[in-house]
Amino acid sequence: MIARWPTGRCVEDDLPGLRQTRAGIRGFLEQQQPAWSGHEQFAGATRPDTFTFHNGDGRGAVWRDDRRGVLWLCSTSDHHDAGYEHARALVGDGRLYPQLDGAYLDGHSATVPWGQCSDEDTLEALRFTGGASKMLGRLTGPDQAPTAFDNGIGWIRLSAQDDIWRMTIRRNLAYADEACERDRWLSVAELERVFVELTGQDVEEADLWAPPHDQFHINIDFIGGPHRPEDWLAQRIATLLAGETQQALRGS
Amino acid sequence: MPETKSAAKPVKSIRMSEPYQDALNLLSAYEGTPETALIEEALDLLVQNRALTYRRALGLPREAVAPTPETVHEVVPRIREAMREALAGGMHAPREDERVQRLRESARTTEPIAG
Repeated sequence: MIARWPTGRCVEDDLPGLRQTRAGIRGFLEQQQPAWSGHEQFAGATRPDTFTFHNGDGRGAVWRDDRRGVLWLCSTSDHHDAGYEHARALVGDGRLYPQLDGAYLDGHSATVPWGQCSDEDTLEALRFTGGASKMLGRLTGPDQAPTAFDNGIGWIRLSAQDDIWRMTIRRNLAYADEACERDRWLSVAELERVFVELTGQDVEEADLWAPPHDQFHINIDFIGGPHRPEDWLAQRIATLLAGETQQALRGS
Repeated sequence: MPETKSAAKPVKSIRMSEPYQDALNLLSAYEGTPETALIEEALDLLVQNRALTYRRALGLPREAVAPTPETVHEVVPRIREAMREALAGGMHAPREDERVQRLRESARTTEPIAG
């Protein structure tokens, strides 16, 4: 679901300073596909598939990450020449490209401990929650069978009985054997955040409880249905452009 | 692994410090759950909680710690059996220094991304 995203550095340093070209960033992110129509290679690139990013008068750089199937917005600016200079300076500082796991297992997952590669963590969290949103958005009423999301790492199920909906979330992330240090338990705050992002509900209005003899799952009972996937993504983009994303992503 | 027939259970006497006895008494009274049932559930949760820590050391596949609510009852027996086999083979839980050493070795073999 997530195939375009800005690097953490871009979010933190570039986006807050934009005055003219925010609409272009929104349009870039709303497309959510890794393909890039631009063919102009960025002259300062140190990796293949790094292209110039044109946004009104502003310029920057994007990098197509084929291993993960994502187009990273690496830098952006409201200005033309200064935008290119900014991107070249970032290359010189070794900060243009996202912070990713060099031992990433193509088609599977990262391998490094959580917290070491911030952009890797962000992408995984976005894709996990976004994927769950897409799946859970299909459950529309109490007469349907429960629907579950399983991306091979995390697991979420939504079921409904009468007006009570129940989200069951596995409390740990479990990776392929080779991903030897990334397994971890999710904190209660993280579990609550997944619930809030998917449903748009106030967690204080919901009822969290642990099933007996089961450390691996938490149930969250609540009233009402989940957000639609497109609503979830629009909210994430809006949050990002509002400048609150760093805080949101750090907690993802 | 819930069991209900307490009359058939063997006796296990343990000494427990006052705060834990108090917690046990309170939770039992508050929930109306027998103390034995609470301790049994607590042990299930403790072993499950150790699952991520010891899965690789015990040679268990990732599926062992990725259950659904329908399969979660299989986790504790699998870990118990794996621990039993490990002990029979002279193995023990990795010590902290062994764990750190393995992390460092892993970091040395991970290639940093270029650029």
